[in-house]
Amino acid sequence: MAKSMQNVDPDDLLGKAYDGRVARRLLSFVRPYKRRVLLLVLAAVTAITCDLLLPWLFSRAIDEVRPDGPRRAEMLNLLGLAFLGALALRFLAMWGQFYTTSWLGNRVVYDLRNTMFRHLQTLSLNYIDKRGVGAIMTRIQNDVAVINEMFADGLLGIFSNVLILVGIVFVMLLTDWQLALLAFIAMPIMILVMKKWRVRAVETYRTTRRTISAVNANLAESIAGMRVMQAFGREEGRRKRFQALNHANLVATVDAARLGALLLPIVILIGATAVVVVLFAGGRLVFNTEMTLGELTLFIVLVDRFFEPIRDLSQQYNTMQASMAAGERIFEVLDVEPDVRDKPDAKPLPPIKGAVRYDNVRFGYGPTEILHGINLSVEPGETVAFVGETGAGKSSMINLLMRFYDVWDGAITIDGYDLRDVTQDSLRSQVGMVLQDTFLFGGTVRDNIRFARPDASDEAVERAARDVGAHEFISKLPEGYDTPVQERGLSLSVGQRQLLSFARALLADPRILILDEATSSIDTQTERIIQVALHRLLQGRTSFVIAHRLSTIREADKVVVLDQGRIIEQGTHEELLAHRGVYFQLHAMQWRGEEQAAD
Amino acid sequence: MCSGTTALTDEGSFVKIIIRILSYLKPYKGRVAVAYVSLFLGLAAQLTLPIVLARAIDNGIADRDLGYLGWAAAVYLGIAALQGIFTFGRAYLINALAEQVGNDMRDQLYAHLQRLSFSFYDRSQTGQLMSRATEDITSIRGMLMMTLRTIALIAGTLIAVTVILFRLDWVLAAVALAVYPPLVVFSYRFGIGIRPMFARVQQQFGVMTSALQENVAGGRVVRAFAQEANENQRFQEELVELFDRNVAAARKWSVSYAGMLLASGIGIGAVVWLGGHRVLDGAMTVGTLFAFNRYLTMLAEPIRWLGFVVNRIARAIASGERIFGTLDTKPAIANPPNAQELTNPTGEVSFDSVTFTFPGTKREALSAVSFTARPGEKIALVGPTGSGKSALVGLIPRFYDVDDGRVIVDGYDVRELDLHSLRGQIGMVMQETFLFSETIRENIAFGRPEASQAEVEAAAKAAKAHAFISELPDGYETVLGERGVSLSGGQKQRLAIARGLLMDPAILILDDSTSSVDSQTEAEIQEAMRNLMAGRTSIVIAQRLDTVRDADQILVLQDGRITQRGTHRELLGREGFYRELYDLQRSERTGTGASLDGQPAEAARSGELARSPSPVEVGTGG
Repeated sequence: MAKSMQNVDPDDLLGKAYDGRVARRLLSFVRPYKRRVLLLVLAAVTAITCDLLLPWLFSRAIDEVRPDGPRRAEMLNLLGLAFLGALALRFLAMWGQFYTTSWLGNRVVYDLRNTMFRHLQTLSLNYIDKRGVGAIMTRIQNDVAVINEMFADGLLGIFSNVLILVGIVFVMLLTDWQLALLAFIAMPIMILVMKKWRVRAVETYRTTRRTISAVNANLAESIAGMRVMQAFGREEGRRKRFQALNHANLVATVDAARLGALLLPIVILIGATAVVVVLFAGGRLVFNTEMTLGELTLFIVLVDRFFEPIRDLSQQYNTMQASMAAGERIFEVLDVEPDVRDKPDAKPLPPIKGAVRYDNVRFGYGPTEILHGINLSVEPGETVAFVGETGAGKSSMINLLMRFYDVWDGAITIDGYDLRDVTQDSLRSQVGMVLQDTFLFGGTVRDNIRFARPDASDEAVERAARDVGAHEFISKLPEGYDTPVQERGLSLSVGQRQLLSFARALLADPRILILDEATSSIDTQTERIIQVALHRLLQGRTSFVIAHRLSTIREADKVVVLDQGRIIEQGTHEELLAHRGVYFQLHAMQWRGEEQAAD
Repeated sequence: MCSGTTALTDEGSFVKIIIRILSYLKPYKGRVAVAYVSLFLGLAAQLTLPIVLARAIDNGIADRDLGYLGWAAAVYLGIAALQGIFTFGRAYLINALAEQVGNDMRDQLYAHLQRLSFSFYDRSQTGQLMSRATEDITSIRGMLMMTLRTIALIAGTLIAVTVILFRLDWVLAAVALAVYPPLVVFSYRFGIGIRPMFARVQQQFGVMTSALQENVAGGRVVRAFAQEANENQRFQEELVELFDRNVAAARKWSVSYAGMLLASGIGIGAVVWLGGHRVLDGAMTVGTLFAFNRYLTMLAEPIRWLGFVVNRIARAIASGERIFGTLDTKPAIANPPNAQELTNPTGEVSFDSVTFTFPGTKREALSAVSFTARPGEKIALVGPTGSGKSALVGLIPRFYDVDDGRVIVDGYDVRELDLHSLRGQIGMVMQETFLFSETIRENIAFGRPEASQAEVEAAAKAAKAHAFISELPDGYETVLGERGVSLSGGQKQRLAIARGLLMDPAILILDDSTSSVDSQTEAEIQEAMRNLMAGRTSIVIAQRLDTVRDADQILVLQDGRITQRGTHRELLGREGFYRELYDLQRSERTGTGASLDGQPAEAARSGELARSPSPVEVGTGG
């Protein structure tokens, strides 16, 4: 409910306050709640009508009781009752207005976040990698929050303020149009001053934002580099630098404070001028009985209230600008087309045996082709090791098999089914993947193991853990399988995390397994456990491994050597060595390099 | 949005924190005084205006006295001008004061963070520390801006209006003001009561955020296991909960807020009806009636803010609690009284039966470790991950204190030495290279900012960094970091070596592993490291054979104990971990090429730009 501007990016303040395209799409999120919107408009109109009715009733009372008025007691009672009635009505209207605004704003935010999240699930990893986790988070968190502000503060605020201005003008014109015009003399001055003020305010606001982000950036870096700073004894130098930035921010914020404060006397003075004009000119009208005393007091009350909405509108203008920019960023995300879509007539892939064929596959990211006509045939149960330099196309091979992307040309089939003819869900539920960097989710060790099969029993989870040799360290954790993985103080080693991901994959029990072997440092003992676990994991299913361990390569049924997007050799480790081709050379060079280091 | 969830703990600490926050205003007593003088003068001016209007109505208009009306108008404008000036004064001063307090707190926090030792940073997260200096200070600043003004205005207006109204007409005043005491109480209660509801919203926002964060960061796993539908479901549940909590809060505040407007309206309603009757009875004038209306309108405004003020204060107290909690954390390592300066040390380092446990953990990281490195010697530390190598090197610059035993540098227990002079004699080059977002020159001269350009270049040349630096657009003035140039792992490492070289330390602590670089670069780095070690006592966390081979002493660490020591030849001649490790590597070398730390060598040798190295690159590189 607070009129906060903290989500507003200063760079948004010079943008458009109304962008038809963005506004229409934002409003489309409100459309399902038409009845509530109608209710809201009704409540707002009622509240403002009552707001204007109250001073009018008061002025009527004054005219009733003034020395030369009719002075009827029963009329006064009636006016008192009407006042009470208007108050009660305003209470109901405002209650409804506050509540409905909040409901609508939060509902739209809910729908936006939900839509964005669901859309995000359909996008390729490529998108997330390119954009970065932080940037995507910002869209769903902050930009959407700005939209909430737009509904709560911007749209409704503008609507209410415009309505009240129109109401005041209307009542004043109706009472005495000449005096009304006289009172509004001050208005153009007010608008002119506000405009001038706004330009400077935006500038100052930007300076404060710039200086504070310099302070925060320095602070974040200082905290992250605190150890280095202390090791090199540079505390004092860095502190001076921080204090200088902090001081620059102080100067800017104090500037902003002065500018903000400046608006107050301006509004007070312009308001007072209008009151004085009304008092003097209106007083003469009352002398000449062209106007009643009550009407004059009504004028004074209304004129006094007139300038506040104008001041508020300036603030709401900022909110609108910021929301247009935020809306544009939101739709930018929603407009990203998924790289891969299910065909309308896509069928679920029936349970597979695991025969995989790459048939003259061509593929690339963006304009450059990465894979140039790949042919590969894999029998059910075989283990294939991909070997090759970075950029040779290993990752593309497995990305295509998971159908994170579609091939440009040629086809990949599993058991004869073209991947493009089946649903992605049915494909991925039968193809498992273990990645280099083990990602663990919040929740317990158990939750993480049964990530792919949330309904798995505790026994099944434990069996999987035992099979990969993870049970031993898990049972030593403070709460065993129920230990939260992200609890502070509990740090699982790289090796342990890998074992967890193996257990996760084993429990999912996919027919086809894809494994990107990790290269991170693991101590020798864990390394042995992992090799055993790997062996267990690959057993009895078709497996594709981006291999880094020689033991893995040796055990593979097929070693596929990739070079610049082509398969240049394939066979078993022994066959390839005997062949004395590229693989032999690579292998020998590595071996020799090690030999030299040892002597 | 609200930050933090801490509820008001107890009255005592509540008041203590408020007082401590207010104590930051002490250096600015003069300005505070001027601010409040302005505030009350402005208020006085504002409170005079309805009287002027009442007089204008009763004497000017009712008596048809145009001269009087003109005078009243002029006086009104004059007083309004005064009100404007004083309002400007108090708004500017109070806001500037709040900014000043925020600024002072931030400076203080920064200086304190610098004094806190490594163990503090081991258990703290950067994000949380950041939010102390950002959100928490913002909340205190905002609270000061609002409360310094509003509380005085509420109190001042309430008292003055009460006095004025009672003097104008005590009967009407008594009736019209009757609603205010309960309204103030209600408003205060509302502020307290709404607080936990906002806290609940905030808490759920955090839950929603981490669900989102996990889904995005773990996107690969979600897709690999086809869990999109489950994730959608899970996230939607969090969103529904967030929505429900928001709406629950809205249900409460909407009715309360509208109710407060109703209550203040009833006071004015009483004026219309009862005041009207009193005018009819001749007990009061029309002008006074109008003044009553104006005063009550004036009163309604600040009272409406009371609820928000209370809420703001509650939030600021939670923030204050967190900030002061950090400020009150005592540095685990501090300069001893009568600290000894370490000047021109020979570089002798010895451990005398050192036992050490990382703060907050149970397992001993080092148990009864003793060794001596004579000046100029090279000590290689060998052992599996977690065996205590990093703990050992961290004790020498006194990043941590031992639990038992002594770490001795040049005959002094490190706890007797001036921290600055000790650390000034120790150069560190670790695996994770941290560089600041400054120029390359400043980064190399980090330990000695006064170094000349020639010295910086000499260090860069010895560290084999000069060539690539010269190729950068701005050479040594190139700015690094987020907004600047980003360097490769190998380049960063060489800058760190140059940084260590320029310090010209007597003692060097080094992690000799090279992060993914090509073999040409690797050779250069090795040479740079050799340059660095020449003529100094070096303690090296050894990952490579050639480092170990020419070490004066090899210490094999296992589970925090030194299990073997000697030279390469000596250790090879004995049964034990070292030879086992050596043999294991030789047998596996054909494939994994695991180095001494069990780290696959290809990870360290693949191309400089490689992201996922593979065995093949080892060959092409070599």
